[in-house]
Amino acid sequence: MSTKTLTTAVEKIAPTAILKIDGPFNDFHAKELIGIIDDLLTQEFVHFIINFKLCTEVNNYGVSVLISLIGSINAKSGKLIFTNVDQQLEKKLKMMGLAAYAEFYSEDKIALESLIEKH
Amino acid sequence: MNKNLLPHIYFFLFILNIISADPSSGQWKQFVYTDGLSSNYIFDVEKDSDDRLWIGTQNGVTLIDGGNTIKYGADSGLPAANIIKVVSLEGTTYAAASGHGIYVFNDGFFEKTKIIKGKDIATMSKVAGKIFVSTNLENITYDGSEVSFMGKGFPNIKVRDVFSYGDRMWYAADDRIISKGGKGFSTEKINFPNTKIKIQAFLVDGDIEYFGTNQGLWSRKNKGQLKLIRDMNVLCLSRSMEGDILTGTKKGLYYLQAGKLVKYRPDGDEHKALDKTSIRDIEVISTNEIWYSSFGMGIYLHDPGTLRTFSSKDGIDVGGMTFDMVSDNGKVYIATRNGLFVFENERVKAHYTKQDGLPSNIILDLDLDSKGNLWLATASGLSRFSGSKFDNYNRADGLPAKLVTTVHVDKKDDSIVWSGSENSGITRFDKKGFFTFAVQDGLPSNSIRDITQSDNGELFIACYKSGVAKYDGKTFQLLEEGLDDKRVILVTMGPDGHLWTGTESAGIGVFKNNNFEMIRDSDGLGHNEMFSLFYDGDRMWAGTFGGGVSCLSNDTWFTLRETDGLNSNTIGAVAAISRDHFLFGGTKGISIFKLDDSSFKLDIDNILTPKAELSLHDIKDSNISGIVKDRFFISANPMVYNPSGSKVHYRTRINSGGEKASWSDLQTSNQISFFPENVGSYELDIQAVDNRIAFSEIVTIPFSIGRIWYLDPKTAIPFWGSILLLIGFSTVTYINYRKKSIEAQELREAEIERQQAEMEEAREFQQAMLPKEMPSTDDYEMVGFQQTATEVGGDFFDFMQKEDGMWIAICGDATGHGLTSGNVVSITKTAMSSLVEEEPIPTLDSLNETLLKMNIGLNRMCLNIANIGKDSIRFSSAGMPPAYYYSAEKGELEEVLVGALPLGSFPNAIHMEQEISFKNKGDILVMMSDGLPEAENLDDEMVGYDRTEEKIRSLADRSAEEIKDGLVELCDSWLDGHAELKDDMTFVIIKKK
Repeated sequence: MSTKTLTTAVEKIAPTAILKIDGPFNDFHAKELIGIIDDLLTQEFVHFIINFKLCTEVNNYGVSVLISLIGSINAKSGKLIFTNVDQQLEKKLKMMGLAAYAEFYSEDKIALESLIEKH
Repeated sequence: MNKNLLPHIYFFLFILNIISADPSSGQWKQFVYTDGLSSNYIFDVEKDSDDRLWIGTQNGVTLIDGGNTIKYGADSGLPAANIIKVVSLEGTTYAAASGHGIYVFNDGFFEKTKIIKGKDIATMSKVAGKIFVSTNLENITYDGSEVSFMGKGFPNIKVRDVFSYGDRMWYAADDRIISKGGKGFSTEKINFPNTKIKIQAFLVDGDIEYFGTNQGLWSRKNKGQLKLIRDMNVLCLSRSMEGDILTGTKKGLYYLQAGKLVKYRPDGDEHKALDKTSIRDIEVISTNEIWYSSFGMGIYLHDPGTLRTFSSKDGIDVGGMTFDMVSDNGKVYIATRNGLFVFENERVKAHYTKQDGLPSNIILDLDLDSKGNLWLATASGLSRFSGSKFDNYNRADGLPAKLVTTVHVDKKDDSIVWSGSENSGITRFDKKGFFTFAVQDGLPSNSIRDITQSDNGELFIACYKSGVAKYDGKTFQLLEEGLDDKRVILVTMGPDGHLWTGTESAGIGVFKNNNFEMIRDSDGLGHNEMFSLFYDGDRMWAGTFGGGVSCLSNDTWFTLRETDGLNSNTIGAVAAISRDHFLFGGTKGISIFKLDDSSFKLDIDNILTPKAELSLHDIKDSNISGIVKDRFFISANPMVYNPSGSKVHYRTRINSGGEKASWSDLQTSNQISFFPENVGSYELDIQAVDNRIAFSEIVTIPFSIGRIWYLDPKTAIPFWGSILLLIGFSTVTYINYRKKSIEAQELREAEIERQQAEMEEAREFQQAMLPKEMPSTDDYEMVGFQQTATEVGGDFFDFMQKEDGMWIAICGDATGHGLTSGNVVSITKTAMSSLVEEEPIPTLDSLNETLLKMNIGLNRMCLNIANIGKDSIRFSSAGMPPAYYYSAEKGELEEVLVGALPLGSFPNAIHMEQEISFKNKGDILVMMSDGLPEAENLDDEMVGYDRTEEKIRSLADRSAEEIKDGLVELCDSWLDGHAELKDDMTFVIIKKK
């Protein structure tokens, strides 16, 4: 299992935060995103776009973290959007039931526009 | 009177008239602004008791401290004014600044004093151990602590000059002379022809008073009539050690000769301007050191006494060579190529040539007998000069040859005179006549150049090309062992009775222990071509052919050359006039050398040790401590001022055990180094050597040299003891540390072992939860397979039979790894056992609620449930990868994806069910965890669902077991034996029989 570090760049466009994750999203590092999003949720951010373009791995544990985030975001009536999801990951996220709780867009800009449009 | 003698008498009178001591002769050196002076306009020069020179200039004070020159000006506390006088009193220097007052030098800075009231200083001078100052308001004396006014009778007028001689003092004012007598001061008005004549300088020489005025130099004998010597503006007067009255005027330097002022200055056109330059002060230090302060051309150092030359212009025309000189009670006979000169009291007393009866003007050698007769070896025979006439001897008288090369009066019997010839041997002359010894008599060579005699009467004869012949009155013995050049031309008896020989080109041979030891230029001799040898009882003198004259004094060779003021670099004769006056005869005349036995001061600028920079003061009462191989550097600063081009040299000796060592060779650098090689106490003696055959005082620097501290027993024992203790302590500490480290390591290893055991137990537990055997039915082939990754994973599978005999197959994957996921599996399996009879969806719902209640955090359970009926399978899933269904009837493989959240995610999660037809033989359902599709090779490329699906399709006609093997093979080939399986890989394969 990869032990490479995960870095997360946060772009803040209130009430939306775009999180660009770089590295493995797995047992070792995925939990870091919970802290980041929990912190953002305490501020004015409720919608989150997670960009997987630089993500090297998402395993079941990573998906569990995403499910946990869905719970937190839903509690704030927010939205979770995934962008730059490759085919393999999209399949994994859908088979694990996340399609019902999150939206998929090809890129952040489109995702952001959809949020603005809807909210 | 014999008329024939008249021309000679006139000639003598002429000689006496022109030959006299010229004070301008000797060596000069000019110091100007570019040499470090504050200005070229000099008022005064003062030499203090430490031999430092203080120079008052138009632009501050300059200090010449041996080899150092330092300027003091406005930044040193002096005003922007002329420093007209500088006086040193008991080590303290005072500067008189025109219009500002008196300043005292203290620790590198001048401070204004309060010793005078007036600022307009007329003069300042040292008188009887005090400073005398005359200003527009007062005349006072200062002894360094108290100011005193002049005594009774001293008029309140400006004093221009002070002259003292012995305990007498004269103060010169404009037209008055104030002198001190038994009843106090008395003032005499000097009646010059007009009142505009002002006294500017005053000097008393015996019974003659000299008045230097703005309108001439005046003299008065025995208080008689004033006599104008010369009408010129006289600024200063001084008397040299030789008795010359030196006069500094508004336009140049003069000295008094026969009642007249005669101009003098250094030779050379570059000093012509001095004739029109004011001389403000003349400071006579010694016979060889006079300083002249010029107003515009800096200062001049003059050494008139060390070397004074006399040449043809002075009446000594040696005709190109001086061959010999002998001294007789202050009178010196000089043998030249131009006859015989008689020199006395630095004057030529007589000059004799063939006209006076000499057989030849070429006189090669001289000697005196006890009767005062002078014997001369000439180019035309032997001659005896009685003082009034010459008695000549030639071949007709029995001499073997016309040319007589040398003459020697026997020291045991001076009725016997020995002479040498160029090629005819040695001749003895006595009352019986001439008798010649030649080769046939045992003489080594007939070519004779010189003869000398030892105290015991043995003759030593310089035999050209053979060596030295010793004659004991009976036989000749050749001495040549060790002589590098047999062309011996000089012999003389030297120190300790040793024979010294001069060779034509190999230097000097000193005969010791039957062997000649050679002295060459490399030993300090001026040149290896010898021309004359002379021993004065203390020093050996060696005239050379082109290399000047060398002197061995106090174990050191000095050499004087033309650059030092010698008349010629070729010196054919050396003689002593007195104990400290010597004559050198050369090609151009003669030089008189005055030896100064007094030592000069040697200062030490600093002593560099490895630890500090010290001064002599720092080590006044202690040694310099160091260790073997330390490097010490001493910077020597001789307080000697030599106007010639010769540099001061230095020699050292390292004494130990109270014994004086030999002096080192001379070195030119003033940086003295000392590198002790051994432990001990040493005294390093340093002495500076001036080429004028003068030595400085010896400076002794004591050293105490020890071993380096860790080898010195005093410090080594505690040190090494401490080191051993430290090593021992360190060793014990290290052993304890190692012991504890090993224990800690053992504990860590035990802990790892324990964890591994625990992990293994968890793995075994996980494996134990898997079916031991695969179900065997008539209708289905059912195969389950699990390959765990490196850690305990969360995959599991199971087959459970319902009460109606049908089977439920499950395939799960708990998220995460390790014991936690193992626990989730256990919980799921336990809960599942009670749900066997339920349909898939209620089962998943129930399991979801159970896991949520268990609060398993981020761990969740992905699960497939296949409820296998008779002709169909009802399939449901929670978060698992798609299952694959192969329809044997259609020959097609389908992906069965029932997307749903993993169990334990949210309450009330929605689960769905799909019914799959499973009635035909060969129908296949494959459930799997994500282990295979997400297995990555070394290029981080996953197997993927497409390859997995394709593989299953390719294996559709195989048995369930073979399908399982095929999938495992796919994984293995993908990992290629190098990549690791990252996650558990689990398959459940059901095939309809």
